[in-house]
Amino acid sequence: MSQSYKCFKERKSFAARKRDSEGITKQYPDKIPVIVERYGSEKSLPILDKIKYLVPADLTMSNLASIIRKRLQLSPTQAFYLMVNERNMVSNSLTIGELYREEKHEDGFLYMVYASQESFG
Amino acid sequence: MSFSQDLKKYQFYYWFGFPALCPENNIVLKGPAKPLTDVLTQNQILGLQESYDKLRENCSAVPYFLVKMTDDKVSLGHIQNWDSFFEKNSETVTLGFADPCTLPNNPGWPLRNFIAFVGVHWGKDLKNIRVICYRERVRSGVREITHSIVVEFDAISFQTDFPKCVGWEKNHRQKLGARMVNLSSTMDPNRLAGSAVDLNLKLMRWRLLPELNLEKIAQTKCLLLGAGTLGCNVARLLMGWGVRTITFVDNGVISYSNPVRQSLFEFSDSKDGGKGKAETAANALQRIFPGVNSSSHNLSIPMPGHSVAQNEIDEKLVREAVEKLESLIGEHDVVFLLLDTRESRWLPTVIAAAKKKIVINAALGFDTYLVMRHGLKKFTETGELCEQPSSSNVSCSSIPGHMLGCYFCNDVVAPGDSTKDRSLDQQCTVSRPGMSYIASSMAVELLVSTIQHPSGAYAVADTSAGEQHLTSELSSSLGLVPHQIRGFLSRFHQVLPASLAFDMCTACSPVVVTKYINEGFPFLLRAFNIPKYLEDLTGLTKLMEDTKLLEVWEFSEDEDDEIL
Repeated sequence: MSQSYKCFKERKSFAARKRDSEGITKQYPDKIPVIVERYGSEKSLPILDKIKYLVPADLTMSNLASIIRKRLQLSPTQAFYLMVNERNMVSNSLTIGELYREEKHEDGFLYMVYASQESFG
Repeated sequence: MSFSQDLKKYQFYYWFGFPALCPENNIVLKGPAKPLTDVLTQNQILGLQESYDKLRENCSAVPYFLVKMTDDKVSLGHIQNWDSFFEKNSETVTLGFADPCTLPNNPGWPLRNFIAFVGVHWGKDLKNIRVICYRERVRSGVREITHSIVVEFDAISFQTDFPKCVGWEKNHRQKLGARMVNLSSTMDPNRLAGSAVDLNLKLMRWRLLPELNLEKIAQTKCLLLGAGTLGCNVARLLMGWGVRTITFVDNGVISYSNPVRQSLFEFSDSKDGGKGKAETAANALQRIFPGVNSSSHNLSIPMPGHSVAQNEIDEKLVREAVEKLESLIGEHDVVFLLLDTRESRWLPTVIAAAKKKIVINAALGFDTYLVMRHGLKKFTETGELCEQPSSSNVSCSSIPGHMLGCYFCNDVVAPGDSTKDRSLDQQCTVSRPGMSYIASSMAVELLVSTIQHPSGAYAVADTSAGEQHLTSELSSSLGLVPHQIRGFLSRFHQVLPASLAFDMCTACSPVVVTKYINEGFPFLLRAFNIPKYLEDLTGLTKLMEDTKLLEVWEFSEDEDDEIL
């Protein structure tokens, strides 16, 4: 990726992000604001054109993975994974609501990155 | 002394012989042996000692000598001077010999041959022989010969041609035969290398880690699927830990580009079309350490998406490959997945899950790596796979070993042919060269930490999710036992995620493992041949269809209210 690319957190101040998330959750109280970005050093997967998602709390991680795959137009043989807060993998059967309780950022968003699954030996 | 050896085995056979010639008739002592002090006066004893010293002045040793005694004088002579020393036709002579024996009533062994010698040369003239068994010792700094003894017997004549001979030592079974000594533990370089390697590891246990169970590591049989960069390095590291059984599986040959990265190969291995990777790697291990039990199998692992032709011959080959892999996994304790595609890791993942084997999976990207242990399934007493508990019961940060996910749990697509329609750099291991060493090290250390943990592969996964890994108490002597280690070399950064097994996983979910256990090869064949079979079976197809209906809204960054 180009070095000039800045992630959501870098482009917006904490205060602006907090205002953002509060505005959304007030309007849609049963939905969760999620930021999904490409992992910084990822090279083979494309960049998502939209990174901000509002998802129902009962959506599972597998649903979300499937949506992101579709947005990225990945071929069925291109494996990828989602990582929460750049340091944890969560089970595909966990719901976004459950995840949000444990992993949400202070600014009110849930952050995820995607990267391609390693497969070489 | 007779001596022979088996050079390769370092076994030496030896048989001591102290030959003594036997007379036709036994020699019988005339009365018991007498102490020297009973036969000689004090002055005579002193004289004997002085004369003996004199006799020895010009020669290194005088084992046998001639003796003549007058009232208080003793003179000695060399054997070669017999005829001038003794009067002609003497019937009684006194002889002496340096006696190695210390028994008070018996002369030592060398006297036998002396008597034979005397018998042959002068026996027919002699009637009576007296022998001073000359013994010397130093007690409290004083030299004395007073414990010498004197014996007397009839002279005997001796036949000159081939007398009977005795004197071979008996062996430990009290039989006449050679003794054997096995010096392989001190001389065989192979054995020496073995004990040196073990000693080096035992030094860890001395003060640093007294509870380290090295025997457990040494006994762990490791199956390495893939003998490429990861396979070579993992094998070397396993030997470093003292693992003695290492088996390689690979169907590739060594190409010219391999030796610089694949640490068990050399340029010559890549010439003439290249030698087989698995066999060459196994041989290299033997050269590095002959104590290792390394073997190899040239085997092509069947994969989903690489369909099997519908004819008897191809199907038979694939069935044989599956059976071979099943028996190999069954014979080993740990399966290392070090293969170069996603889909080749599927079959061993399923088989190992069904056979409850520890799986250590290592995979490389360009500058990222993944090392993980698969969850070790629990079965009920009747052999049924335990259903995965629902995720809500388990916190993200402490997952027991039997609930951990596998390599395929993180995605929602089944493995397929990843080599189709890909450019060369997407098909081969194109990665920063150091990563193989890092990932291999992590894989082997993860295994060792796992088997040293009191719960083994059922150990709860340690994770960096909430930074607990920096402060939590170490549950085993070697420290943390994470589920996954994901490294990002661009930032030299590493995280330890842990995730639950996915109930729709295409490799380790109960539906897949149970179907494999119950149906075996026909099930596998469907998975290899029918592209959507695993996704239909696990429910992923339905999941993806349902996803279309879900209400997920995407926002571009600054248009918060646009609903797509």
